[in-house]
Amino acid sequence: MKRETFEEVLREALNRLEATRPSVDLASGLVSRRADPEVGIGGVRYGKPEKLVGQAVSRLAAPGRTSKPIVAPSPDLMPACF
Amino acid sequence: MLLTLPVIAPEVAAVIEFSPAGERHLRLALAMSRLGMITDADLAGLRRTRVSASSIRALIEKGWQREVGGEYAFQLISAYARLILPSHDDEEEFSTESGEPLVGVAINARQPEWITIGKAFSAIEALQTGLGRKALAILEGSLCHFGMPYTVGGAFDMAQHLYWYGEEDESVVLQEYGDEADAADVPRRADLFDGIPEWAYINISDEIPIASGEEFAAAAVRFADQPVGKLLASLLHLDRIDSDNELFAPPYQNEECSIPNEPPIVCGWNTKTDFDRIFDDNHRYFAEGGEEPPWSGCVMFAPTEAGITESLSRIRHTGLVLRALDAALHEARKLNDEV
Repeated sequence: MKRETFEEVLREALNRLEATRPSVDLASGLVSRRADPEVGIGGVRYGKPEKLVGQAVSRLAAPGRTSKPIVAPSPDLMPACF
Repeated sequence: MLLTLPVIAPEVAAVIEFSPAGERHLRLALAMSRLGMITDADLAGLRRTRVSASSIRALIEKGWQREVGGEYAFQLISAYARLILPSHDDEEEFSTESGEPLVGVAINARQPEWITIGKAFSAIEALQTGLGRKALAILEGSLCHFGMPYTVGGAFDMAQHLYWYGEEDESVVLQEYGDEADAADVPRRADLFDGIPEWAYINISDEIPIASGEEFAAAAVRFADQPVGKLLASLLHLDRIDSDNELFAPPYQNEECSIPNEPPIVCGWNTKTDFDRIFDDNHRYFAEGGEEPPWSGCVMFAPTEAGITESLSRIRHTGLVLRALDAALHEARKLNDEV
């Protein structure tokens, strides 16, 4: 292996370590992990095929949904203690 | 903990320790490559798909061994150097205040050898009063890098603190026993140091003469052709090279830890086992007293080109001091066998 290649390999590994190092939100004290944009969340690559599948599943599930508000129970049906 | 990195080389996923220790390995290897401590020949057998943790470790070990290994090869003392790339648990100790990672070259000593030196140093004292005492002081001064020296002078210091409340003998302690003093199980100075001249172990005294540095140097020239000549020359070299404590690998800085207790050699006077009782009691005292420091000295540095370059002079100096100490002890043992 050439020296330049060896050093490039090391630099890339260090850059990846740096990219996945947890960062601290000083305001809230929460520790968040920056997502690797190439790998995506959970290691899954989310591209166009995944988007199309999601849209199809959404359309299939749509008829079962309702946008009407939930009806509050009639005062006559409330237990006597209320 | 082992985790799989996204990828080190695009073709095949590599497994490497995903911890600060892993990062230090990578940084150190990169700096060493830029400095030429990893050679083209070292890299010749490596392929992108085989850059693993073990291959990087092997390159680091090879490079450091080539750079300073020769300066840490000894004939007699059990001292050795180790390159520390710390784990996550030691993160705080091996980081700067601003959180920059550090690595270190630490000095320790394994199980020591026992030798005898009484005849050799008595031969020096016989040539000139005070010369033998100065010779011992030079030797013991350098052995102090590893804690109390395991020599006749060190044994006396230990006995004072272990048995006699810091006094020069058991008389003060025995006063507390009153009429039962004779039967008291308190080591006596006359027994422990029977047959050993006072100039060999009394470290602080206005009454016992000791040669000055200049007198010692002059004597090393004057007696160069005598049987003691080589020992005098090696001690003079040790005295000169170990004159600045600031250059030696610094000791462990922690209030909870006592001084090191890693003797690289044990020196009896008339026999090898003269002071074994004192040394054993001292070891037990240290073991019960709390944590011992993890090393006798450690040069810490950032795993960068500048960090390596700046630390190398100190690492080399430490090795040179230890080699000088090793040479002096070797000459002492040789002369003692011949006299």
